[in-house]
Amino acid sequence: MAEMKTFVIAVSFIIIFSGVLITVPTDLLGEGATPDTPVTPVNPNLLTDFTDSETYTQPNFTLGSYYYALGSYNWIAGVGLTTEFSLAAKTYFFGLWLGGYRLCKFITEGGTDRGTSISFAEITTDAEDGAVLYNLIFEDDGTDAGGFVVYWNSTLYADPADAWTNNVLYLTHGVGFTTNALNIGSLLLGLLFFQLPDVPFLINLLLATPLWACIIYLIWWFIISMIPFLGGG
Amino acid sequence: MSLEDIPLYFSDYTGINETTAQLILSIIIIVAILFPYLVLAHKKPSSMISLILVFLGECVVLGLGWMPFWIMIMTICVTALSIAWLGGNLAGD
Repeated sequence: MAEMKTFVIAVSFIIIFSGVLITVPTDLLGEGATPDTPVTPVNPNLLTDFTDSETYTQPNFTLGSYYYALGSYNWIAGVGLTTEFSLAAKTYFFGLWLGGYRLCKFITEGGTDRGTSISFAEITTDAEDGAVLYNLIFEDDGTDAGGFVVYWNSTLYADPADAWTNNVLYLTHGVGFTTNALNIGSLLLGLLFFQLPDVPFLINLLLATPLWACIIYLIWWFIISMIPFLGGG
Repeated sequence: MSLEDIPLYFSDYTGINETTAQLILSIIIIVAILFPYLVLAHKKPSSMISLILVFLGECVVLGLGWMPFWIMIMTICVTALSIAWLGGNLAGD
C-alpha cells in the first residue's frame, strides 16, 4: 500500500509539475542564456532571442572566408574585396561537400530585401545606434535561415567600416529565432541537467531533486513490477 | 523612469542591494493582491484561491522583471508536490 501511495505521489507530481509549467507564458520565463559578447547592443534582445549563435570579427576570416557549424548546417561567411558580407550554407552530396552551397538573402526588419550580400553603406543605412538585425532566408526556396546581427560600439566608431578595420565590428549569426530563447523543452532539460540559465546551481539542485527522485522511483517501480512478469509469476 | 527601474531607485534610496529591493517590492505587490481577499474571507479563506492570487502576483512581478523566473518554478514545484502528496494520502487511505 505504501508503494502504491508513493507511486501515486510520483506520477501526480510529474504530471502536475509539467502541466502547470507548460501553461506558464514563455515570456515570463526569462531570456535564456545570454551570449558572451564584448559589446552589448542598445537592444540586447537582438542577441538573446536566438537559441544558438556564432559571433565573429575580421580576424576570424581567412582569405575572405570563415567556416563554422551552426544549427543543422555548416556555414561559410564570406567577405568580398569591396567588403560586402555574404552567407551561405554548404550542401552535401551523400555526406561529401562538392563545393555546393545555398546563398542567404538579407532582409531588414522593415522588410527590405538587401539581396545576397550587404555592404557597409547598407549597414549604415539600416543600423540604429550601432546595431542592425537582418532576417535570413535561403535564396533558393525562401526558407528561414536565422538572423544576422551586425553591431559595434557606435560611440567609438561612427562608421562600421572603421570598426571593421579595428576588428571590433561584430557579426552574429543566430538560429532558432524566437520571441523568447527559453522554451519549455529547454527549460525542463536545463532543470533536469542543472543548466538553467541565470539560476544558481544550488537552486537548480533544489528544483531538480524532487523531479529526479520521482523519475528514479518510477523506474525502480516499473523494474520490480516487471520481474514477476518476466519470471512467469 | 520605467517600472522596471523602481527596485534600482528603491535600493539607492534605502541603501540596500538591488536583489533585496526586488524581493521586498515583490512581496509588497503579492501581499497587496492577496491581502484584500484574506480580509474579506477572514472566516474561511480558500487555499486554492489564495494560491491563484499568489500566482497572479508572481506573474505581475516577473513581468515587471523584479523577480527571477525560478521563483515561479519553485512555487509550481511546491504546489505540485503538495497536491501530489494530498492525492497520495487519499490513495493510501
